[in-house]
Amino acid sequence: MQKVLIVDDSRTMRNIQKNVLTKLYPECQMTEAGDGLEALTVLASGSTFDLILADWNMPNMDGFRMVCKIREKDKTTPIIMVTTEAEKPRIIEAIKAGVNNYCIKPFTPDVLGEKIKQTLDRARAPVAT
Amino acid sequence: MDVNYINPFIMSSRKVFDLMIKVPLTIGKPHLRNDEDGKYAVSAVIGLGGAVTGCVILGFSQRVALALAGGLAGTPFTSVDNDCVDALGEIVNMIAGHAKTELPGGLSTLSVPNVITGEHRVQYPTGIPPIVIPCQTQAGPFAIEVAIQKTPSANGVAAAAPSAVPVKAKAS
Repeated sequence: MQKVLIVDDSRTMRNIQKNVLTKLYPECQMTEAGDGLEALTVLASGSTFDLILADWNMPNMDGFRMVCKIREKDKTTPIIMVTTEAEKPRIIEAIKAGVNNYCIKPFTPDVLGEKIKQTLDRARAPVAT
Repeated sequence: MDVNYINPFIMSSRKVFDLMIKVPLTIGKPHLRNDEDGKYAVSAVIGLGGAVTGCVILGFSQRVALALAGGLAGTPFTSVDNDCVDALGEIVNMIAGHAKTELPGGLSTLSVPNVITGEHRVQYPTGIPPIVIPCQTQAGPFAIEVAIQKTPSANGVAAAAPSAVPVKAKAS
């Protein structure tokens, strides 16, 4: 069973992502946050997730700052940035901050679905020793 | 009218409509805004800053606003309620956000989108001539207004994005 945190200030966009997740993982438990600050509050309460989907441009705390804060303590929870920020410097910045995958808006459900599967498969893959 | 600042919005709109709104879109010839333009029942507004300064507005009739919001959300709307407003904000966010990737000059940033309801006409800061991109859907026409320019910089610091000032039409 997957537990996913969806962070986006648009309820419409959160619903679209929830629909993609439900089709892929019908048993998925989804938690929503409207901005980076709300997401950090959820995480600080002790909730853990198998995946975080994060928008970039949000009020109160943007997704990039949120990712930096998360990665201060949690280096392993996979994070996919789902955003309109598509310029190469932005993508590189996000990956350096610890984002595992990137989905550019607008997207089809299939594209987001593939990125989610890719990211979770990589997270589960055994590390070579 | 510098096409390098307009074409990205045309391409971006097509992409957003194709991939997410799934409503057929026909785009007309862009023109400088005239006195007949700019009167809407609903507008979705977003500001740009950084390498370019200005704002982008999607202006609709209520009928078209409901149809496009419903296309994105996947559920029909019967009134411009909070969920409809949210969907319209996301549409302008995606159109402007995707377009800015192709704008000349470097990185730009977006404001949080706003949606204005009630008959109004948007006015702009002096000096940025708005370009209107007329669009047509099965639900009716709408317009994309692009009022952006390369950011004039002083001492290497880019100016902040000005906001569009919505002005209600006078009651007749």
